[in-house]
Amino acid sequence: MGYKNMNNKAIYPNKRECQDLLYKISMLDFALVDLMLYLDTHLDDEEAMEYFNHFNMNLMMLKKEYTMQYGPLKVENCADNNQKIWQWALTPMPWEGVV
Amino acid sequence: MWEYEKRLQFPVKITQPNAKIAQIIMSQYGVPDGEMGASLRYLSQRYATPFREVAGIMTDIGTEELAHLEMVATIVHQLTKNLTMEEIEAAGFDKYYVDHTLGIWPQAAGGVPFNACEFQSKGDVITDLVEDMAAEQKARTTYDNILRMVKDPEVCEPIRFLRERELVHFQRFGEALRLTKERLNCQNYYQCNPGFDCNCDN
Repeated sequence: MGYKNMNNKAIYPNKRECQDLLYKISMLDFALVDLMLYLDTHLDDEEAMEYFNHFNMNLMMLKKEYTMQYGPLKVENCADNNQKIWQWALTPMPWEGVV
Repeated sequence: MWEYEKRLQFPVKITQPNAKIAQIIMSQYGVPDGEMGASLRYLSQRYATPFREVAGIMTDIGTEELAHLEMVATIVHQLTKNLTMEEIEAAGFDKYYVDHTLGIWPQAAGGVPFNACEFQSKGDVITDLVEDMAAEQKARTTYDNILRMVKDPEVCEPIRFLRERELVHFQRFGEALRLTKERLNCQNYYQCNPGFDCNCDN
């Protein structure tokens, strides 16, 4: 059936390592979301701000590593790994789950 | 303005489809105390809030709710993937199937469609924040009810995550209500609406 050809170029990253890295990214990003909501109502908690900056730096490094190896998580990273094809449309959608 | 990140807030990887559970969990997508109502509630209410931190917490929680909406849709999608016609009929999923096949559409478990009357945007920050606190508790109760019915750990884990977020959001909205009252006349917090009347400062 013709429509299946649309997925011919789809990227299915090396599953285990890719998933492990994505899991670490999710953990760090969750810590940041939770800290953000806390800081929204505790504006002068310097210790919480230090935690935020610490996690944010680690998260940025992990996201860069992920982008280089498995493709962009955000469209702004599409140019980061020097590909000749528009990877944004080819990496898995988040709801695909176990492929 | 929003940006999309191509990942879920919490991983969802369900290997056993189950149309019966999908029908139950669908409620947290569509109504009455679901994630669609939550995100639209906070993201609509924030404009009537003259206090920046309170508008900020509404924006940030409303944004997180959009990520939760995606998680709930993913759970329903994975629970209904690859179902046979026999499984659909046996689970009583045929009434949904006839209108939506296996697409995601916002409705309550009982079939009532999403309706903006499920939430309020009253243009009064105290009224809105009290509704928000109640909404978080109502969603928490729904997740508790889901967890009593669902035993598959692959489904329960993301549901437990969503349930815990309701508690954190309840706490933050409570703090936002305290911050709001600190800016109003403590003799009578309700004598004016800071989103409409002038000279509300204490």
